[in-house]
Amino acid sequence: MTTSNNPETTCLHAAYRADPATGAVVVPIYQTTSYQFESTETACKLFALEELGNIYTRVMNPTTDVLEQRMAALEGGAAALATSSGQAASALAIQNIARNGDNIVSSTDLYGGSWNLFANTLETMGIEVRFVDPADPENFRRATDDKTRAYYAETLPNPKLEVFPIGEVVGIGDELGIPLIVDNTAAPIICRPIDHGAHIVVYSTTKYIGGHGTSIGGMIIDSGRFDWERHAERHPMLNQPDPSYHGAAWSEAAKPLGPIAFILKCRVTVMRDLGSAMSPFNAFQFIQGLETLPLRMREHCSNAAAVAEFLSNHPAADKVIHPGQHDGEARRRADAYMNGGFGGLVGFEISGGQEAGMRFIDALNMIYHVANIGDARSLAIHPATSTHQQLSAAEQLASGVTPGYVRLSVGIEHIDDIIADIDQALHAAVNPNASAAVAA
Amino acid sequence: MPAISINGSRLNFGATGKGSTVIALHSSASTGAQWKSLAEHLANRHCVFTPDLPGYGGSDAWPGGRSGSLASEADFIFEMIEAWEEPVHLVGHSFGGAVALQIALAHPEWVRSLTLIEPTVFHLLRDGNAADQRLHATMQALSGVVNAAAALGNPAAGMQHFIDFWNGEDAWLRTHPRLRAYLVSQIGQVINNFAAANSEDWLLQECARLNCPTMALMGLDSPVPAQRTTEMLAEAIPGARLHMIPGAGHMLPLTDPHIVDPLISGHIRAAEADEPTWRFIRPLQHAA
Repeated sequence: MTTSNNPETTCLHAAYRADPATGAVVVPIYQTTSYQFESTETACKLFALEELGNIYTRVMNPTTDVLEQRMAALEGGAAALATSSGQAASALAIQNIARNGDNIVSSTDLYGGSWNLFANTLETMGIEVRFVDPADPENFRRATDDKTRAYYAETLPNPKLEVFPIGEVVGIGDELGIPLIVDNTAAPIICRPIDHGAHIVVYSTTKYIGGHGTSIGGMIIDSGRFDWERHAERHPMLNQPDPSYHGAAWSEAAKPLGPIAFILKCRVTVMRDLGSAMSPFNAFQFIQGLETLPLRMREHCSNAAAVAEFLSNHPAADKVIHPGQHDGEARRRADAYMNGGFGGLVGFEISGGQEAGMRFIDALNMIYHVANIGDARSLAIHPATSTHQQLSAAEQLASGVTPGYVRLSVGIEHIDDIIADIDQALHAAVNPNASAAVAA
Repeated sequence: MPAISINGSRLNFGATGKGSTVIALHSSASTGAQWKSLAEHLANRHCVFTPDLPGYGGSDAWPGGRSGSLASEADFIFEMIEAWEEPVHLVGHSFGGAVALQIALAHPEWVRSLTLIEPTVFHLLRDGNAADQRLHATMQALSGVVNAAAALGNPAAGMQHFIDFWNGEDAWLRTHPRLRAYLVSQIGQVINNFAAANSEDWLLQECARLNCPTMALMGLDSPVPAQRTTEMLAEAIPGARLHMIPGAGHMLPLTDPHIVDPLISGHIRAAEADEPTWRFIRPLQHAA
């Protein structure tokens, strides 16, 4: 099997050469729920975790397994677990180490779906989420107590697009025995959070990994670098006997299989019990997406930088939000944690506020009006009247959404066509009577 | 820091969290950043909006350097609330407390709850008993010293007197030189705030028309005029609860957040629990 440190090669070759049964070069879709055990002895070993193998697709599947291994290799992790969505990945990663009475400390710069999960649903489960401003990494330390089980953040949160200080918060977590979970959905290839010390990486694979807008999925990647035993008192769920798996203490039980206590427990307890498994068909789609991910990210980054540059010189754009346009500490963090580009997202504030923002969206010809990011196609959304419409004005401002804010997920079309569409839509947005006058 | 424009004036703000809106207004010679602890405390239930009042932090100063009245400060913030089309919870400390009270008096239907932390409505002392009037004179003297120091070209002496009055003897000397320099630069705005508060003439009885749940907080180590004013308001506002915090001074939101923050969140939660449940329901929906 080919091994490489180059993501272009890893995405095509890691963890699979050919199907052992048929020799198929493309990973087949193993659309099956269950697997014939070779013998009762084999079944016994599989259930006892003496061997890892296929039991039931909710817990493991050969197609999904290739995707999981490939994502782990791409991120520099020890092992991974695919989930039915990015939301499931975030929820399971936290539920794997925090329970009723525990807390986690999270950055305030979060995807709205994660915010709802944290502020509302996790709260109903007795897990408190303490939100802190990532501008000062020390806020994480200040919010920590002896019930804090994890830190959580996004590498490149939108709409602010200010890169999270991964290394700084890892440093605090290392002192206190707290792992950092990083959602890297918006920055695959250009940032490997594990290289900066992050312990767990989660993804919505729906976005750039899939890349073609076909499938919903998520991924949890375990770096294998967090020393759960050393912090046994802080992490009882990884160190004390687990009654849900015949008394296994996961930090000990996983040792024969590698440094995978976190992800092993997540697979065989939380995933087993909650069942948010990825379908084999979706795993196949993500494997296809992954093959071209490095190429696409290169184009996304280069096109987004060009769009940001174009907008920053356009009189109808009052303000442009792109990591490459930040200055001061935000720019330093972008440079420190991003490599090979700043991602495919660009935000801008259109002159004329909400009305102009709506007109801009309606005037787009090629760019899709979609509540998604990371598609190969360029996408646009006016959050104040769509994704953030149900938020109050103050909540919108807190999220970084002003009335005239437009978010672009810049695709991989030819840059001239992307800019031409934005340009004509800006013209239509700030000159609303122009077309009417022509028509008259 | 992000900013919005109100009537062409830049208003710098901090904002965090989701849920019902809480606006917290800071004291004189401060900024919205003073509410950092409260904002984090409330963020998973509320959207906490912490503007820099005009002339402070990154917000534009008033044209000509003077605001004129508490009402004009209150109107400025109220324009924003009205544009949002949603009643809010108001929290105000010191001068910010006076502004919050002014908003509640002028537009009670827009205020879901009110938290007043030693608001600087010292003109109320003027109409009190003889002891109250002596306290009023104390505040007039403080204002006079700050004004005179600025007029004589020694703003540092003025701010030293101001800071020591509110925070105890030698507080100025204990202040970091960088913060001292910032405070000195704020003396003009502090004078404006004094002038705004001193120019008021509304009567304590007017508080009787406030009908939102109100909580007043004061530190028992705070200067007596601030304690007495807070006490008078708590007596005059129907149903108001007064919390007196031992060992705390005038800057209690900063020195005692472990007491102040939970009191505020509890007050807001209780206020919402008493509202008709259908009134503020908004469906939450998010995509990527």
